[in-house]
Amino acid sequence: MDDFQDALRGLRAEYVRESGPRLAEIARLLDVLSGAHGDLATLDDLRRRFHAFAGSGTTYGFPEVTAVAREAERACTGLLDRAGPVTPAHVEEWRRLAFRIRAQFEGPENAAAPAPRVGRERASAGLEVLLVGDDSGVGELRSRLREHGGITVHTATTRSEAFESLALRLPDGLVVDVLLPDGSGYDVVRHLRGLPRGEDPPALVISTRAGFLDKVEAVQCGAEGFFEKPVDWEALGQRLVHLIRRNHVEPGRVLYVEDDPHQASFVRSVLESAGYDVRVSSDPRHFEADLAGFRPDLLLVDVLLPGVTGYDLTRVVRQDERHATLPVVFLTTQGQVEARVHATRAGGDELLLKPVAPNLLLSTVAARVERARFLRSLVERDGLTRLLTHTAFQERARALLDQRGRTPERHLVWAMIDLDHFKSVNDRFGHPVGDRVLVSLSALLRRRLRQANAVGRYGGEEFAVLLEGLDDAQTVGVVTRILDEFAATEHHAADGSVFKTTFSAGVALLEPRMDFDGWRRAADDALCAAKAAGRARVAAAPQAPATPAG
Amino acid sequence: MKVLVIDDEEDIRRIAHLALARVGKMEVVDAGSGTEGVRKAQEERPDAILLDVMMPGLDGPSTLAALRANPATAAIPVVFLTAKAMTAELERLRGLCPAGVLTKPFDPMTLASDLRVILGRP
Repeated sequence: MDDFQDALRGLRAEYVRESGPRLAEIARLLDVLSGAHGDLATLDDLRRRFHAFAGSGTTYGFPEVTAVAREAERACTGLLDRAGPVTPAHVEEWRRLAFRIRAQFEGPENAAAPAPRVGRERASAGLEVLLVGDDSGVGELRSRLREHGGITVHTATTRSEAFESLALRLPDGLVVDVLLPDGSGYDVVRHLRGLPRGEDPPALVISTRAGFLDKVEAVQCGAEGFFEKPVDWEALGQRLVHLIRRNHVEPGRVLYVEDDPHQASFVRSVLESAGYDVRVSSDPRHFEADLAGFRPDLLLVDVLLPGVTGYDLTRVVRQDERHATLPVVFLTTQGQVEARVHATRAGGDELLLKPVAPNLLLSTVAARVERARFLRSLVERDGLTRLLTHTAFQERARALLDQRGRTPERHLVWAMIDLDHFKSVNDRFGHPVGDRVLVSLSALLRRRLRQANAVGRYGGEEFAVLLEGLDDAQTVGVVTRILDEFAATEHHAADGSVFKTTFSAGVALLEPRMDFDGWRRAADDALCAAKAAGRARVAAAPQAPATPAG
Repeated sequence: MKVLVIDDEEDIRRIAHLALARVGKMEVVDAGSGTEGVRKAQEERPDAILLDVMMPGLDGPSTLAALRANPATAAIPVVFLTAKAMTAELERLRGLCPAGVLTKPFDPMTLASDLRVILGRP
């Protein structure tokens, strides 16, 4: 029962931590009620919030919270029954009660509740991985994850133990053996995916059987990867950390264009102390390579550079649509008004005067980085299907191509998918119905291809997928299963009639020496071949000869 | 034994999950709204449902009605979980003929056994 107590303490700490924002929301509602905009809906909202404290306090070991919140809730209910009015005396009384609730959470025993971490340590500290299966791999996995600092490994040996553990808390990653003494590992992944927020943690499956159908089942139950026994724990650990990191906020990247080494090291130390990843580009001639290689979230540019002004540099950046949302902050000693005009004309977002105070620098950078990331997430996604846009997809493909040098043995596949006779769907049923078909296919792709590196809406009714770790024949199998499922899906027209439709797909394995255009063309050609062969099918690009001529 | 917990408060879902799974050795699924609960009940076919009364959207009594309207879920025993321990409220809920009524805040150490007593499956 000890771990029950531990789990209870964990939940209790979380409850205490979350009470802060909840009380802040109550305070905000009280402000609204004391102002001109308070109405009965706000009062009802306030009542619900006190109600929540009343219903949970004692359960979490805070009986006084329940008592006080119940008193506040009763006062709200009474007023609601009489339809108001809320007087300043009411608000004052609720404030007093909210204060008493807050005091319950501020006892010394609750002070240990850790604050959310900031800075670069957060990348992996405090993360938990659940390993389900016989525990022979625990030591291996632990030692692989140790170097990533702070990722702990918990274990469960059976399916039911895994369910229990998942019920207690969601891990940040899951590794599960397909064969469990009391059932299938796939069930554990499915169960995880069905839990609140269970879509987030990456799941990897390990198995002695590694038939094609196993890989397909792994994909379809919502796992991100499949590893054969004996497991290459090094590779598994790396993949897991990569997937977990992808889910957690990475430190912001700042590219600083500055030729003065003193100024550069000052700004670098300020930003690094706040957890940013900083690269200094001291020679404008290498700037483009730095921009492409480092993929910054923000550009910090000194105005006076050798041979070029920071303004010119920014104009060049802005000409590339991939950098349309990249925030640019100028640093200058120039007179303010003139500099501002130049900065704005060049497409800059902000201008800071040197010497810049560290606090101002940090607050400017933080606000811009956060906003830019949010904007980019919007710009990178297609408005209708929420898949990657054409541009964002191509960028992912190029990035993967660049990484090929590091892991040449891992297969990379490009699949191009195009709806069959889509124009006639639009013509017969209208565009809103056509749009729904697009959305239904994109949802299916997302659901069935969780392990894909990228899924994009490539054109009007054309979709593109990048997959790592499956070869072209396996990908044809996976996409064919999706086609079967899609072809069986009924779509509803506005007049109540029901219709079905299909897609064709082409799959191209990235061959050695293939460049970006060649790869894309191979996928395109395979798609054309599938269309020519009668549509509603998946074709693979012909393999290049093992030893290319010439 | 599989229990579906329907409550809009994540605090309550979390601790009910812990109490039922760890202390009561039950399999637990949960839902954050009445609508989700109705769907999960159909999919999961639990042995019992623990249902919050006051929820935005479909509230407890309406959720109960929806569950009873579906032949697949009509027979699943439903136990209300209410934070309003006043007699009038309890009478109103009992009038809907649930399998039982439990009050919030509950004791996590006894929730599972209280539920078993109500269901007659100690």
